[in-house]
Amino acid sequence: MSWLHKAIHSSHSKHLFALAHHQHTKANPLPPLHENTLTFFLSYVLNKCELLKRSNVVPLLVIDGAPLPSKVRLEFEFIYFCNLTKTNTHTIQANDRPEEEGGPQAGVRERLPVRAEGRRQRREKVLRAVSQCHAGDEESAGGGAEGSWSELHG
Amino acid sequence: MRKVLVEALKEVGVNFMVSPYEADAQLAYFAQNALVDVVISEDGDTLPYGCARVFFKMDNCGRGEEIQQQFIGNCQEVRERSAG
Repeated sequence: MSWLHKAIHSSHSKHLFALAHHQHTKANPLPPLHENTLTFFLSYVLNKCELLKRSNVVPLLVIDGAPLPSKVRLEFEFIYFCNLTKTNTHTIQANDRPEEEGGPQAGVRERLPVRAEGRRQRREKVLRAVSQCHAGDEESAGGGAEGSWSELHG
Repeated sequence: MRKVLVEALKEVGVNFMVSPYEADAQLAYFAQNALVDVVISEDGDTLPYGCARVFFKMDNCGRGEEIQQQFIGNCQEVRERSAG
């Protein structure tokens, strides 16, 4: 690390300490592990932005708004199956294979409630789980994304 | 985390935007419409979206790997990385 980047880091450390103090003074402070992760992530992003600005590059940071709907359904469906069957991912993958291809025995398959349910019921449960997860995510985000989006687009 | 990041970026004075969905598609839109010169990313997800020039793994010294879409066809060697 050269003197220039030490200077960049120290210039941001003051800002990060101020931000950490600001978080502590809030009514609902973040847990310690989350705060450490946050500080690391913030210093990573801000150092890169500062480096670009010093190199006469104007940075434009694009933040993820939400995952693609198609991806959301697949990921949450997989997590939902994991929670539902209380087993690991390998077992679920093995149970998804048909019996002719070396899949599970019939007795094992009956113990899994996924197979006992109809396709429509399964879909409704997944969508309900997705909506609950989205509601929790919006509460934890605190509505920051919506505010900045409306600022940008009037 | 996103709210804290937005507050920090406002204080530092860095331009930012929150994409409707994934940032990769938004970055590709910017690149295709010549609104940005290069896309800096940690992975190659922006390449399939149509980014012409992507700068990978930029370190603290500003070094990294640049991949231009027009030269991808010239690649003749594939480096395999052992899993685990």
